[in-house]
Amino acid sequence: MKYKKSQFYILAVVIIIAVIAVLITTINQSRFTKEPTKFYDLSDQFSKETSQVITYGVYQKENIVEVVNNFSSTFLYNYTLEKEPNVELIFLYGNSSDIYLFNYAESSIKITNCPEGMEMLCLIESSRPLVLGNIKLDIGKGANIPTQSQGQFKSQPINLPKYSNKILIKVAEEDYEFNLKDENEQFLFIIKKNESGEIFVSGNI
Amino acid sequence: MKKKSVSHIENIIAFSIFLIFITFMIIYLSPLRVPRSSSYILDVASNKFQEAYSVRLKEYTLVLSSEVLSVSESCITFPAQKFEPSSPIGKYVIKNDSGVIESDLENNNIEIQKPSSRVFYVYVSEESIFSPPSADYDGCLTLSDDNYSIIQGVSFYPVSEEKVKSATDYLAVKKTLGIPDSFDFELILVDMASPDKPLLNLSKQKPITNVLAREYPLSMITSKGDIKNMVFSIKIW
Repeated sequence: MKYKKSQFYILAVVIIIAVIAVLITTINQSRFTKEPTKFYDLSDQFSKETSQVITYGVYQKENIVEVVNNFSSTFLYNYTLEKEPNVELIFLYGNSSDIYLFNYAESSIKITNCPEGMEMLCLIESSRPLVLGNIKLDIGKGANIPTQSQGQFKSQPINLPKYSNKILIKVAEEDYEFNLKDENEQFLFIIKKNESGEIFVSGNI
Repeated sequence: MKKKSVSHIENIIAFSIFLIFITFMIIYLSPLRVPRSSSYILDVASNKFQEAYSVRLKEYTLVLSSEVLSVSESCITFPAQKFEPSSPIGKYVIKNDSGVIESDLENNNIEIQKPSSRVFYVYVSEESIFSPPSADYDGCLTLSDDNYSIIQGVSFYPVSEEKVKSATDYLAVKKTLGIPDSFDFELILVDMASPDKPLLNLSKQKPITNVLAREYPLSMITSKGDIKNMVFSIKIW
């Protein structure tokens, strides 16, 4: 009789130990941030629509800088940010005579010295947010190009000095090159999104 | 007698707990479950298909000045190098809103019939995949820079009909798609407009069970320059 009772206790102990062992076993897990599909879709949409908007501007002989500025700010503030918060946009538009920068990002863009041997205009995203009002800018080497105030619909585009037909812009620690062909109406845009400390970058890059 | 019945109950409880525990362990650890590695093979194969059979296509919009439409010449010409490829043969196709336009390449200049509207599009590929309808033109108006504007458009990555048509060997495609030797596959690419005639159909007789499948739409550029909506279907077992 005693023997059977001890069998029960032994079995109970084995079960309890096994259950505890299972519960305390470390389970290896890999966690990753889900790719923001909507963000990339918005980037594609922006690319296609900007091309159409510039075509419209050329066809109608409108002021393209104004048309593009109206479109990009409306696209960002009235459409994109409602669907996908924390999205920032940096936009470069160039043609045979001028290059313009539209900075809708939180950080400012600064003209910087180019890497050795590179004859181009080099821009870098400054890590320190700099939000200025309607301050007249004296653009030159080392000058700051301020962020357009968030929510300000018709922000002024910045006319960049045209050192050469190449622009190198560093955003989120990555270099992006904008090669201007003289006769073309061209644009380069970079949109980025900070999600849980991870930066996603897209654009026609 | 009383003690004996208590011992029976103890045994029943002990055995029940044991069975519950075994059931729990089997459900939790699933020792008989076969790892579904083939689902990853499906991901890899789909991605590799896109990589191997798609091309980068860049779309430029060309806007003519209104004066060009009223000139007496019946055709216009403009330099192909405005659109980047150094050797443009087979790398471009010209379209307007109604479809592909006939063109001719003469000394790296593109010649087309004078269009009826001011806007048309040039699609440029990095690879020679096009054999668009061609025509011979003489005495075309050479466009000066004031006559037109080129708007840089978007890049996209459709599957190339030329490349897909070359995929006829089952084993070669299997290798391209990174499918391991121990697996087999079926790959069908069909035009949505004519679903009965697949453009690509590579298959081995498949088993009835344990087949993983994926189907999704994609666009394909034909050698004539038309863009077709296709359905890509892959099964792996």
